[in-house]
Amino acid sequence: MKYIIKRILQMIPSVLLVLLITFSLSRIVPGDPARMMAGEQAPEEAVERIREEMGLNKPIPEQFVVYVSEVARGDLGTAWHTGRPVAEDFAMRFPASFELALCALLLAVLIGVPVGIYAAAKKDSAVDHISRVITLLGTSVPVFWLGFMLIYLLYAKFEMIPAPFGRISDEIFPPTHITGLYLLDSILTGDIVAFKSAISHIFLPALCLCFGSLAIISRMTRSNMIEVLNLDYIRTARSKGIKESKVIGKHGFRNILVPVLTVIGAQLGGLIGNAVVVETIFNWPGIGSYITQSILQTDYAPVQAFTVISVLIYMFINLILDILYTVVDPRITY
Amino acid sequence: MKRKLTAMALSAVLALSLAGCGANANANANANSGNAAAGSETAGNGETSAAGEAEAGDKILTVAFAEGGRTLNPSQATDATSAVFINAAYDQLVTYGSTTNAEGYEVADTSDIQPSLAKSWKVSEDGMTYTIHLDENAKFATGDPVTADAVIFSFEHVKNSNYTGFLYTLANIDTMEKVDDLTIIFHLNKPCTIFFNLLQMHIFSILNPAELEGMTDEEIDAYLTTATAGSGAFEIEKWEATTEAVLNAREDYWKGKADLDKVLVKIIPEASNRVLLADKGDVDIAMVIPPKDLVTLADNEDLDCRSYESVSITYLSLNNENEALSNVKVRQAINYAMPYDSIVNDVLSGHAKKLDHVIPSAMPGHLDTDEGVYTQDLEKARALLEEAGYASGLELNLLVSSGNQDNADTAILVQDALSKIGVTVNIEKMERPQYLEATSSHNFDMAISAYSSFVNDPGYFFGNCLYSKGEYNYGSYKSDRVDAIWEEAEASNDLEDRYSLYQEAQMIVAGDAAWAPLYEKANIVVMDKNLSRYKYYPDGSIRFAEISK
Repeated sequence: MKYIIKRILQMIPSVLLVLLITFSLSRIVPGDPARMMAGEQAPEEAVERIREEMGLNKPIPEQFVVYVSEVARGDLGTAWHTGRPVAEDFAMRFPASFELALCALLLAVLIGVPVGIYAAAKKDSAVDHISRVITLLGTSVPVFWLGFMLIYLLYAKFEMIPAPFGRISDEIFPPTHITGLYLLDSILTGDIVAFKSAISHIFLPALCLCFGSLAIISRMTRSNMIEVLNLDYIRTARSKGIKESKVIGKHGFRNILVPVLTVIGAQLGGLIGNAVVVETIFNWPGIGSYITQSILQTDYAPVQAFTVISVLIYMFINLILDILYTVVDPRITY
Repeated sequence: MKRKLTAMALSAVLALSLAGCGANANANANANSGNAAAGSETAGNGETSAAGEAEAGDKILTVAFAEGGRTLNPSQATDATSAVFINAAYDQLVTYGSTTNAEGYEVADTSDIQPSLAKSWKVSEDGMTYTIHLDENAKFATGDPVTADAVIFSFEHVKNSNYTGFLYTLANIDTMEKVDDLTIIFHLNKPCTIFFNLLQMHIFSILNPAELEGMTDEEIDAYLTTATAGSGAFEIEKWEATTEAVLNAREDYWKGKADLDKVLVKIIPEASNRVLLADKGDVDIAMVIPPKDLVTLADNEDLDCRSYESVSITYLSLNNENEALSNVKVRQAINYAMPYDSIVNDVLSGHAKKLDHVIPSAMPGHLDTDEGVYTQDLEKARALLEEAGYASGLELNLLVSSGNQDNADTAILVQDALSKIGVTVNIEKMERPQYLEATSSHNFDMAISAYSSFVNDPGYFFGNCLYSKGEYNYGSYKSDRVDAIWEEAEASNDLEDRYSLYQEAQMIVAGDAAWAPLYEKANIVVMDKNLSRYKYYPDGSIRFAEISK
């Protein structure tokens, strides 16, 4: 417990540093948000008045102090391109992004880990080779290309999925709001119609988003498992006549959990980044597509807030992982 | 351990299925009659199905936009997409009549001013006073009548706006006078030949002061960013700039309900996705389709791919402050070297028109003549360069803004063409904001520039782009004759007189080779053949109230 509190306190300077970096970056990048806001054809004096209104003509250090104190109070600023507070925009879009990331992670783990284990157990078998090819593709195919290809094939060519916009078809009601996650809410309310529509909408983006992570997770699982299976205690277990499935599934598996958890944690960071691309391609109403628009419109506030929140999420995941290590491996203590 | 887990999982499933007996938004989804009831049930959560509330057989229009606009505030919206929503929710005093263009499509006639909230008007002989009578039937969405006070309130709001106050100034309005509840007189400080052309713009939408009572100007602006207070044909149920917008036709619209019942606007940033959606028939209208993608859609018999003349032009800015480019012969040589045909045919797949003189064909004052027009002639270009003393060659940089593939492709063709006359071109690609800063501070040699006139008037266009003190005169072009003509034309009260002055000015600009005009863009709209009465406005903004399905 003491350890957790210590870790949380350690986060504060890191967050301040991140605030400073994102703030400076957005100010160093050329381009005048007041000009973008006023419109390209607005006269210079109008731009000047808007600059004043937004506080952009104050000294930069003063702008930073104002910014930090606002963030501390939970005020992430106002996104001028939607006219709403950033915190409100985020809250509204968060469930969509969370559901997508969760589905992608589940797919990556539930497919990646078993495939990795199987490939390790049956080294150099057909499954191993196929998984290696898929892995190679997963790490080398850019996610935007994959997205467009999947849309073209599954939507345009074979008509297997509905039009790639939104989380649910227009003629279907979103499930009654409980958690904001459509799949979960529709199960909770027994709403089969909404569930079917939601799953047909989330399937492609989740597949696309998980592809890269899936490849790395299965690869890491495989290599760790192969290493573990060569250790003495596994030979001992085998010589004792324990069934091979149990040797791998129990003796082997427990010992690869720490490195595999680390990989999964690291992949979550990649998921946040790729979500921006995937959401834009699939018109997913989450935070990623919102950030793309903000960047295109030179809207500082949401981009800064997104960076800070991503860092917080990442730190939080690392903390959870560190705690999980002690659970999966009792030898680890802090 | 394992048993415990199984038990937990089982109880969770049980809990879920029990909860399932509660509210189920789609419980009656198969029965049409159940839809409306379910809609009101879920409405409390702020999540209604976009089309769900509609009755079976409703006319729903689905439109794919590239972006969702920035604001619903009429006095702050300076982009065409925001204007779409504002035009749906508000009325202006006047509007344009219709005419048919060469392709047989219905288009707005900018010389035919028609009544809207204003029933009739009288303009004084000297063009200094405009007396406007409002329609007594006109009502805001709240039921309040549209009065002279509302008009004055709305115009005052534009006047004080940081964003669009310049349009109020442009209309030369000195004072506004309320004669009675339905009559206003505008007193001008000098004649304005485009007074009604300005008044039909979405900027001059009439706001309902009753809905905004007690708010300061800032509060009104903040409120109107996401809410509306107008008298228009649609109520905006939802507007999320990055995902979608939902508009419902108002049953009690004072001009009579629109033919459509509902409009769903989907924000699809990827052009290739918009093309796919249109091709599959999942949207009725798709906007901003790249010309090269029209080839894929041309075979689809359910679609109508229309290109309209627009006021968007693309040209090569030449910085007259650059030593070499300050020489008129060098500028003329560059004009003679431009690969006009390959730009139009290869970059824009033929869906554009070569811009002969600077004023595009959709703008009044357009000059339709071969005289003074540059066509590619490399021999002549080389000779001119030699005369200017650059026989041994010349090196220039060329700025392109990122995010527009057409401009990037054009830059490469320009680079190639100029290399043939001995001009070495270095292409510099910049982010949009960076590019804007470089061009407006005249810190470049050449740039691929685009301009779309916010006000469809040659005076506005010349004043911004070619008048020596113009805000968008990136190349610092200065001609005393053009300046004198602009000043004379802006003081004139006669439209035809102004237009002929601007035609004269265009010939001077052509002789000076101020820039190299490349092409005028076509505004491409892809729509379902079942739609009728789609009327095109030169501002590119759709008026949903006029569309029938």
